[in-house]
Amino acid sequence: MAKYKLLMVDDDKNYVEALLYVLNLNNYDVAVAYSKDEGLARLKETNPDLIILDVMMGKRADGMLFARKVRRSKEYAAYAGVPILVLTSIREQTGFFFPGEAKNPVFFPIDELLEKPVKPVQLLEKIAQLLERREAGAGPA
Amino acid sequence: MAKNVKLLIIDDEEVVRDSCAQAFRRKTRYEVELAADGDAGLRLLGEVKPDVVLVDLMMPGICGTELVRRLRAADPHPAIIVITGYATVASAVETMQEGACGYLAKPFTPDELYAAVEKGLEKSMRQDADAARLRQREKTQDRFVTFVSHELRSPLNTVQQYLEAMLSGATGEVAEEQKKIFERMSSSVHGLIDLVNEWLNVSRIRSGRMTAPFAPVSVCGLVRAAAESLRPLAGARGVSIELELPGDDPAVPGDRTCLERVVTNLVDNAIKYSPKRGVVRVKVAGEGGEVRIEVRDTGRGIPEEDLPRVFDDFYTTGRSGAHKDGNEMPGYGIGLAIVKQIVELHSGSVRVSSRAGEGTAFVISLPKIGAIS
Repeated sequence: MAKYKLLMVDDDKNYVEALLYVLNLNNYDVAVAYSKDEGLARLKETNPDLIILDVMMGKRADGMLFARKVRRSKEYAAYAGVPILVLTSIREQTGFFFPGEAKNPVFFPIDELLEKPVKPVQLLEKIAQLLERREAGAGPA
Repeated sequence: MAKNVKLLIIDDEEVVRDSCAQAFRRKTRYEVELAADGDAGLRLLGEVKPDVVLVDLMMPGICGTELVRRLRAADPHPAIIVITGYATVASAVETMQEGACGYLAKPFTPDELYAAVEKGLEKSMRQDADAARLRQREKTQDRFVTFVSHELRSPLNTVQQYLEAMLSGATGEVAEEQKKIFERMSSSVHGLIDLVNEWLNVSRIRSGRMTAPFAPVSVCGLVRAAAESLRPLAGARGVSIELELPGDDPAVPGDRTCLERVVTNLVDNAIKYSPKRGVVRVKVAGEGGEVRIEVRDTGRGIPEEDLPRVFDDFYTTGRSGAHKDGNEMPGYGIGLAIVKQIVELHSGSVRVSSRAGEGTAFVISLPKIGAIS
């Protein structure tokens, strides 16, 4: 069986390494990008089956811009259906609550959100679910 | 080149004014302004913006102590030095409480005058520096909140993520003994992450940054969600949660996330203070224009003398260590402070009643806006 390809976009190299242990062991082929722009470039190069995305990169909420671009811009239309799983500690962050639901189709078009740190089992479950949903042909939520 | 020093001399005696002016005329870095009474002095204060003010204590019109108070209130910057006759040294001391920084007894020599003014200048410079430091500190405080939210939490999350990776076996086989150690580390890091999060919430709420606009919130929904999220904790501690919800579903105007935190904090506390086989009861009742949420536990209660302080920051019962059934005592003591803050921001109130050995009840009252159909 071909390996699923994941793209992880997160500016914290150390954090990325910690997750790579879990993801690599579970037979995922993971490409990594440490910024929004690098992430957009890698998206085209690797054509992943799923994106794992951080929100705060550097001092800005670049993860949101990344998600909006992937889902809405013509340039990335080919990737608009790639599931996006957000891993963030943003929800607790001061002065920065998502309005109502975390997954806001307008504000932040993503499929799932998990808070950091995440239980490996939970993360793997979520990834499997999203991949399955995609295989079944359902579009992004 | 250093800035000129501006002096304002307020004295009703022409001789004193003239001699002071004369004394400073030979010193090039001083600019001297003169006023013959308190009113003129107060007027000049705004125009001249002096660094040092010399005030005669015994003048017709406004009394010296009062004048010092008004000068100080009008401008916190200048050093105020009181000129006084020998007989009024005691009242000169009184003016110190109003913000004068020194006094000069008549008669004085030019050298004594210079010395007093120089000393006053030093003091006013120190004061300015203190004020600037205070402003800086407030700014730093703001930045610190942002700093904590990202720079402190990220590494904690990372440490936790590595521990999780090791515990899951993803980094290779882990011996039983090591696993226990990782679990303990993980629990400590988790506690620290919780603490940072709570602290951030306090800062956020305190600085009034509740972003979401108020909308009707289902009280029963809140209570159900809080109970649901805490059932695992309750189960682990052998505590049961019982809900008593009204048939209609009363609504209150608010920020759902914040209100859910209120109920969660109270229920969480109640669970942690409950003995094994304890019961936490959460009751919702609409009465008149109010909705009441009551969270009652069967724990050992809060000592009466502590009741007025439970909503203070960093309050804990003061009895550290483990509960007699081995459960850990709740830690940080800002949960209830947050509860009060949020409830008050929602125009509500929170009360506590407790009896030693019987348990504790928290009652929140919030304004009702009707029922959610």
